Amino acid sequence: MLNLLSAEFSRLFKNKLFWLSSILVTGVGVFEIVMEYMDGKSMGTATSLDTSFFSFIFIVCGCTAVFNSMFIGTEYSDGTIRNKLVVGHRREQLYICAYVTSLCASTAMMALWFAVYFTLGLLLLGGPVLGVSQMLIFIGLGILAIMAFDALYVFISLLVSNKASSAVACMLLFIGLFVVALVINEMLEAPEFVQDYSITANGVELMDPLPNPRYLSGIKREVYQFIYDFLPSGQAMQMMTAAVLHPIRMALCSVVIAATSVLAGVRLFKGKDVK
Amino acid sequence: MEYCLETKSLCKQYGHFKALNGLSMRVPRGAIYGFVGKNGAGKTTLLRVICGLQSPDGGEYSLFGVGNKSADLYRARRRMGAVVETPSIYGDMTAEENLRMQHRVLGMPTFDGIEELLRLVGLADTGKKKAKNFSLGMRQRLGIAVALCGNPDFLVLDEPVNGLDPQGIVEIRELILRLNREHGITVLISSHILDELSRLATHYGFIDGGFVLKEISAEELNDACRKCVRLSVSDMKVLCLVLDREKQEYKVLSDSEADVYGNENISHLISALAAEGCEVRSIHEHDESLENYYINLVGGGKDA
Repeated sequence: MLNLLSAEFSRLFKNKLFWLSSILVTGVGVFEIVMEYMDGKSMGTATSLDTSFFSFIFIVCGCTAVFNSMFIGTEYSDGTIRNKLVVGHRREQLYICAYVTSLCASTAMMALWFAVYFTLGLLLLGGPVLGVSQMLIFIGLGILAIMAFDALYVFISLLVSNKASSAVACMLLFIGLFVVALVINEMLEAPEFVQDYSITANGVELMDPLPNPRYLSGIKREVYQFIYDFLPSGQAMQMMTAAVLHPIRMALCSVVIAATSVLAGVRLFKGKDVK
Repeated sequence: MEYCLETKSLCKQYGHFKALNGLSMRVPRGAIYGFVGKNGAGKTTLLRVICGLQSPDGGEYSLFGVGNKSADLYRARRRMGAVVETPSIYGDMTAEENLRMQHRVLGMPTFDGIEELLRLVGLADTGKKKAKNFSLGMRQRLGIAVALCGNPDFLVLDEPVNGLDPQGIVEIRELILRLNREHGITVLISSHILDELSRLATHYGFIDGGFVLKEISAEELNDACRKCVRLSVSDMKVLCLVLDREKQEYKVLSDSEADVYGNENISHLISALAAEGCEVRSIHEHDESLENYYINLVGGGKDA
């Protein structure tokens, strides 16, 4: 296992896509800080570190969708996965090793983002509005969400032997999960009542508020809220909007997604015919 | 005899297609085992199974005496290297980096021996050239070098000369012979280029329809394929007497048939037999090549 990890890390540090992703994450971080700083200056509004800080989940997950599928897919396209199996490495070791490498790549990208925000961000945008403990909880939840995303990417990349197909599948998963989260967010954000207006000779008159037919209530609202908490993309949205309602549930959901993906992935990968 | 690989009634099915159908074979230690069969006969499937890339649906196999259901099989695999189908190398790495990577995978404490390995396969001068820019022959040799990391006792090569130019074929042949003779490595080569195999193999296994039709040593095969004249005579005793007197090598096949080896003058032999009162009923020249032998064995298939 350690041998495999050593080999994977040496490959990771030589991997152009990994460095490209890291540069991209850093670049986006710098860009967001500068844009927010300039917006604040021109509009005369106060800025804070945490306004855009938690978008790292979205950025890192997007980059790792491509990185994981390409990095792991190379093992299939170059056929090098065979070298590991032929010399007696167990499939579960291979799987865990791929996941650990993926986590390390994500951690490195996150570390770069944090470094940018806690240096340039603090300098230009000032401190966060959120308290330290809340920041730490959000960061922890973000890391767990990324772990869940990574687990899903590794699952796809190791079970789909075709590099291009796994890259497309990972990207579609990433986009699909965020689209679902956006839709649910919109549904949950719908107001309970809508203001009704009436146009009379005296002008526009406000009527009594009417119940919003798009408002989710009762069990339906709870189910949607649960899905929103369950999906790592939903968690990311909540952190980006600083509206986290159930942090413990979210953390547990991320752990469940990661653990289930890894366990199911190992089981399926053990029975997979490698060519 | 000690065997590197033994399989018993191995079966592997893809959907309704039986790729391996009760395949049994034995690869003796120190041999260059030529695994011969037409396309789709099951050669690559067998190699995938014994390399741990796929699981058999039935039957069993053992590597160095360790069965496939044993927990020690993973350790036994450490003693083998393989190039299955295409060479397994990272295209964006140099030859040396590829070997370093495999050393890491194997957990070897140092990178000693990489230079020697590169020299052995003739890739010592490739420098910083990436493997993706290598020729097919160079890639094949690098694939073999990767398989040789960790000094395996058993090397599995799937169609190693496929697509190579004549020079590349000679280089790979010489490399395999050197590995076998100088380093004592047992080699299992699957191929359908029979002429090439006949220059290397010490043992053969002929596969068709997912099972091994025949296993034979090169010596036995040479005997079977040796140039001879097959005589059908009225009196076998007389034929034997005459051939013994002429100090001619022969093999009696039945009461009336015998193969006579060597450059015997046929008219002289017929005269001698006639003088002893033995009638020659038929004469056939018998000169079987490995190709003929194989085609006879599988029943006339053209695509060996």
